[in-house]
Amino acid sequence: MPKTCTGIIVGVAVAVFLSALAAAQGNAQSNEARSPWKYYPEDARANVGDGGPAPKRDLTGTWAGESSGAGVARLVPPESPPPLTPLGKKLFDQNRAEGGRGGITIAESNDPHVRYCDPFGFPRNMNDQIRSMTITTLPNRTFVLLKFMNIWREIWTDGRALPTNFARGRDAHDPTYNGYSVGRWEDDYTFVVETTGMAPETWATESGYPHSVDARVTERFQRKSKNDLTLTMTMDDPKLYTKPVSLGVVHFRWIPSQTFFDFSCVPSSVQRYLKEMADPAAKPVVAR
Amino acid sequence: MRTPSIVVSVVVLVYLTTVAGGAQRRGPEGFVREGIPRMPNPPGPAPTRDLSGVWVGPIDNKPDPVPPMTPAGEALFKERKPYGDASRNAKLGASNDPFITCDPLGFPRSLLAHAVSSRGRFIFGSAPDRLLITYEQQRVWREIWMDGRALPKAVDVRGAPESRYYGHSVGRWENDRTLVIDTTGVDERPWLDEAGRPRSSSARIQERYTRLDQYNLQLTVTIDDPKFYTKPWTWMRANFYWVLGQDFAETFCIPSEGIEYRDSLARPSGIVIP
Repeated sequence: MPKTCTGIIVGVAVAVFLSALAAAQGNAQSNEARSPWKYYPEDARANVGDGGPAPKRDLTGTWAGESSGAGVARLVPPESPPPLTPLGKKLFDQNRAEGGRGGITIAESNDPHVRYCDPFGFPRNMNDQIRSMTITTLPNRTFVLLKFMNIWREIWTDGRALPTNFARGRDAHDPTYNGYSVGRWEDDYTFVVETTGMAPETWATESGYPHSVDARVTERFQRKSKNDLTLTMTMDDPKLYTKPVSLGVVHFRWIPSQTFFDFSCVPSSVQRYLKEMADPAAKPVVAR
Repeated sequence: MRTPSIVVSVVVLVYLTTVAGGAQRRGPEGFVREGIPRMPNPPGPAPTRDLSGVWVGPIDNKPDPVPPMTPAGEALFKERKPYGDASRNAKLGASNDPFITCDPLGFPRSLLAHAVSSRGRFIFGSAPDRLLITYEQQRVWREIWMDGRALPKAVDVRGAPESRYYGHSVGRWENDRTLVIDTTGVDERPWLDEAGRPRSSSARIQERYTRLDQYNLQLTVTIDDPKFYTKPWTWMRANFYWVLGQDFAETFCIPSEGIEYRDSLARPSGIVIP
């Protein structure tokens, strides 16, 4: 028998063996006893359908987003190009997002999160790295607890008005990473949140859209069924944008196990990665 | 605490907030401690099986002495270089405290009133089958499963969950006023305290919250960690108090600021943070 033929047969046999092994491992994994402490994305993917009608005025529970592995797609990306004023364009041009403008590297980027793991701040934390969120409601406020970076936001529902004067000082409100938020039920299935006072050093999106401290972001959480929740975000910031800019529409699916895994950007790990790999790799080679 | 670089500004900010806002923020009967307004006296009774609300502490923490460590615990402890109150000698620039770069504090260090802010505020909320606790420091949160499940027997092995900075927790009501939370499976990288003591992923950490009345919540934390300590001990025995206004500040350690401070000021100058 020619060697080539032998080689093909052996190759096919190995391929068949490996496929069988992979299938066996897959079956073993899917048949493995489920730990209530673990998140199984395949189980979340298998939870098809709407699950029945949405409960009224209730978003409480744990939801999977587009980076959950549960097959949840983003519905609409942030508006592009953004309708910037001249000042907005100047600020946007200063933000060098990784992968932007034909391939900015991590070494060339000045994204404070990518370089340092600085908090995303709002609204970026609702449209970037959307892995999972848990919502809990108290009588006077609602909390959004994000799995990425293990960070929470607070939304007041006691009817208070948003503050308007933001500055460092005793007679003003400090700009904050998450801003100041108030929420209300527009109808039994739509919760509307308004936020302002976000620290202007944060980016509004992964691609570096800027925002001022006076920007006002509207979020519309619409629970369309037991299993489906969509979030539509719009930012009104006349200093930097000529008209309200859409920050997109993201989709969430109910997680049957209500469990998810932790995922954080750890500053010391990123510093080590940049020092040992990313930054040296980006330096031009000096001719000897 | 935000970052070493802004420790001063944050402390000043907290001080100014306390002083400037004193007239508006003072409770009807003054202060329990600096910055903590006293609520009307006498307090009302504790509601049944309800801790929800914003609490501040720990106040009057009286832990037991830390027991001797095992050789494994000692070995790890010797690698740790704390700074500030935790050490008379280590300089911030030479410290390897993970919080200098704003790495996660982890549980239970997150329960300590951290240098920076004596504002160990937290709130209890709920979701299906669990309690949720949000902390002012770092704006982190934990979930406590109340559905009767057993804690994981191991972490970071096949079929088991991964370790977590804030561990895996289950809770139960021991009576109408006492909530008991058991935690294990913590990620071993964070320190137990500012001195750099270790805690292992197999440690069992128990919190007992007893709501004495409307405004006082007693917390006792015991740690059983045979891998690193020769016997269990009470790591925290303190009170938490109801917060007037029930609000939070935003208290973040910002990595870019902490790292810049360490590299451009603390290391070159050999500065010691008191």
